[in-house]
Amino acid sequence: MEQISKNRIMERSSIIIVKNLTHYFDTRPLFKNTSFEIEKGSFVFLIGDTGSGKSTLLKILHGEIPPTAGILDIDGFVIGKKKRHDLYKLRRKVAIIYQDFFLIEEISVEENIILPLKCLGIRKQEQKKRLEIVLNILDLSKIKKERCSKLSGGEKQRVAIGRTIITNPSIILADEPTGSLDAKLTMRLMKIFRKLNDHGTTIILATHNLELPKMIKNSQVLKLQNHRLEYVKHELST
Amino acid sequence: MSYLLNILNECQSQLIYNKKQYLFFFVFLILVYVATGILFLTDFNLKKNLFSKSNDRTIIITWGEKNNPSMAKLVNQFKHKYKIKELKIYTPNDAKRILTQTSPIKLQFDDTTNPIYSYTAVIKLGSNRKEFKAIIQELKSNEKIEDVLFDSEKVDVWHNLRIVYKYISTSIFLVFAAVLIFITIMTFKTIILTNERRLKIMHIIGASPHFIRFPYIINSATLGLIASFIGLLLLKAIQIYLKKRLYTPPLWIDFEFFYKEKIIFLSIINILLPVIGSFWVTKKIN
Repeated sequence: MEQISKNRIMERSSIIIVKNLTHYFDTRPLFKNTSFEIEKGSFVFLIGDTGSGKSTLLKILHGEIPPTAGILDIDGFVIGKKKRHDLYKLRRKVAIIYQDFFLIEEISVEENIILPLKCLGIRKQEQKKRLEIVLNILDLSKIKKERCSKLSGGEKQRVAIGRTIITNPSIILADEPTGSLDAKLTMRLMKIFRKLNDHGTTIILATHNLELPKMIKNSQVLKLQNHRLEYVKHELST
Repeated sequence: MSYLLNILNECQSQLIYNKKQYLFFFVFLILVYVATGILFLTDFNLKKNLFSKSNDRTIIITWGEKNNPSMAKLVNQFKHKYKIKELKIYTPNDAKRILTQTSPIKLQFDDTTNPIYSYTAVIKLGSNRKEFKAIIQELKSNEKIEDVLFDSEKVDVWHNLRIVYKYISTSIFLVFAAVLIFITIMTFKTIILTNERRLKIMHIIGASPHFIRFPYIINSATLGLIASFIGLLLLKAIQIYLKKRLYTPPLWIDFEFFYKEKIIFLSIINILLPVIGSFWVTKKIN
């Protein structure tokens, strides 16, 4: 099995290296011996038909699902080699936004957003400072004390993003983040993602909306087709 | 330091989030403590009264108004020879009460220097019957002692009872320990089940296994500690109540739950077992 050294990652500035990824969902193959690399600081759209395995790939990249075979090097963390109880180290670098938000409904907006900082052992003062910034960026200041169960879909989506970006992760994985949003909110959300990307965060966004890549300059498109992932031509980007 | 503070903060959130389960658990811990305290320590109390160990053996000497140096000397000799820890001197009336309740042996001392008074001694049954019989033998051969009232059958019955009590107290303790572990596991399994979504979120956002597990363990230890303290106060209240009711003729039962080492042992168990239970259950969180 091919060893991936850190030096190689530095040379190529690849933050994600996937080699010979194979994954089966029950007996159905989702990926067959597929390899790809994602450059540091890039904005990648993951497209494919419904059921093609976009969400599964994101979950594999986030360490939630162990791949059937293959090696994944994500920002220096090699999935498959380390024990599962070490996965939190990966998840501190790689944050994920789910389609159904995955918020704790019983607690307030600010408590939800601040939660990852508590897990990291960040000081209260620093927590407050970062919270204020995130609330301002996502325009959530007015509803920061509201319980998440009372929020609309769009607001929940922003809270989920807030919780993701507050730790300043090196990679953000987003699974159909615009799925439940109208055009206006979609535009706003993409603007936020673009800003994050401008600050050096690598973003991988799974979507079936082929209009989204057009909103991000210099973005790349990875297409899931015939159990393989391939970069498609740049005509979707402006 | 801030990591620890954040864990404590998470403990608090969990208590609020799962208040029903934790409240049930807390009340249960208090009940277990009090129930075990009454049954387990009362048994120790009986043991102490009836079958004290050889190093706790007590001789009780009674005499009249005046002090009697020759008797005190005799008793002191026994005290040193048989490593008797305590020598109590009672007035005749108190001695009569103690004699009728606590011992199968009555001794009549013949005081040659002052024949007006007769003397009575009580020896509590030791754990070693052979040694006990040796004392009896020696007492009988002492010319100053007029009579040794010794009911051999009673001694055997009490000796057997002591063994039965030993098994009963151990069984009571083991049953309570098992129930305590069972309830702890069930409580934390329920909490984990109701927190499934929250736990998944914690995993997703990069919480370390320690950060997820420690609040459960800390909460179980804290609740165990507070429950032990409240249980202790309740035991004290029960003791005061029982003393008033039972420490009157003809019962004269002296209730005492507060043997320091036993209370400490029970409190440690009441804290430790929930900790072990929660530690074991949370190990399965993934």
